[in-house]
Amino acid sequence: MADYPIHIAQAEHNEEAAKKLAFDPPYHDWGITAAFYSAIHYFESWLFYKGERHTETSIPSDEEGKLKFTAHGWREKIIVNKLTRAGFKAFRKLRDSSETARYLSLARLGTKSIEWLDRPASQYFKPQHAQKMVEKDLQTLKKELKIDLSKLLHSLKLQNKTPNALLIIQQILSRFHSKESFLNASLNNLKRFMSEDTLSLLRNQLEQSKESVKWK
Amino acid sequence: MDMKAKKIEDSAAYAIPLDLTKNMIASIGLQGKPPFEWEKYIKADLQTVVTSETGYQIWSPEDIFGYVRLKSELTMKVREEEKEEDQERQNVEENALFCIADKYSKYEKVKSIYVQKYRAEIQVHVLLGITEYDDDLMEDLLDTEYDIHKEFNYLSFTFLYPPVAFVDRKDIVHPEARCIFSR
Repeated sequence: MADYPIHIAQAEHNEEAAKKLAFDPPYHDWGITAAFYSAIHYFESWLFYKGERHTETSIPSDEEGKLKFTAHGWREKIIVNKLTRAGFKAFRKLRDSSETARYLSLARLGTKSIEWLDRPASQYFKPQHAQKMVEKDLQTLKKELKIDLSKLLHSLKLQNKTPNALLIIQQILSRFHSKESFLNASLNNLKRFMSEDTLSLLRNQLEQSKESVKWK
Repeated sequence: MDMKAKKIEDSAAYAIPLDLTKNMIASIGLQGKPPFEWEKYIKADLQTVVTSETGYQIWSPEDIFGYVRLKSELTMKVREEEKEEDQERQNVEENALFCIADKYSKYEKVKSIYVQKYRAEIQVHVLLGITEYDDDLMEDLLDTEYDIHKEFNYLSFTFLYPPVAFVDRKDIVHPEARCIFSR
């Protein structure tokens, strides 16, 4: 388990790899897997500012202390409950396709003799399939998880300026759907949940970061 | 006091009342009285009552008999309710599985569906008879999956869509994997 910036760094690293591999047949099938692991880290960075913080540490347990879900199962439960249909489908497509790309089998069913597909993953998936997953599905998920906005808020280093940094970031993330919508918000809207001091702090930090703030 | 010492003390505290309880129960002829099954379910509870009452002698045989009957009736009721809840949960799961089979069977490329329970999860494996990835099909399958999650939100499903070019049902023999649809 890692903190927000580590998840983001790993997600971006994996995304870069995914882009390269998806456009480099016959290795495009690995582009799908890299895209899925990018999606996992983007999701975990998003969860970091939620009540759960990490998938693994938020899995509920039963009366005997045994975990009720696998990490994948619990993560998808959160996704189906908190993301839109589009976000859910994007994540699920990446996960399912990466499973197929890696295994092409029914091993999870505990079959005595594993039933293999009659061709390798690089032939089962065409390069354009992998490219679409990287360029469309992964981007849909990133948008849904408001990665641009969380990156901006994290870059302001509010934790060095106020003890309420986490609360401020959580509030902004829950009220705005993108970096652009936050930077173009109306002042009245912002004043509904932020004090003058907090607004002033945010404005200063944003200006230092050379972000164009259009609060009116 | 360490745990071991505490255990010894506890067992000593219960030793004498246990004998007394046995005698008292024997004296009122409670042993073997159907349908109470008191030996199994209520003896410990009765012991606790007798132990905690400093003047256990104030309990008349009728009091004990009445108490035992009340407790056994309550115990039986709770067990029946638990059974009903179990049955209800199973019915809900069965209904959900029926619905899953129904919704996915409309896709011609879905060849069979297997389910397996793991912890609180119901893992659903939707086997596809395809030899090349089909993005439109996947979009449709995921729409169906999303609807199922929303409809049965109180249950936990995980779905996988493995492609199998040649489905041979004889190969799928794991006793935990149950086929809910096949064409």
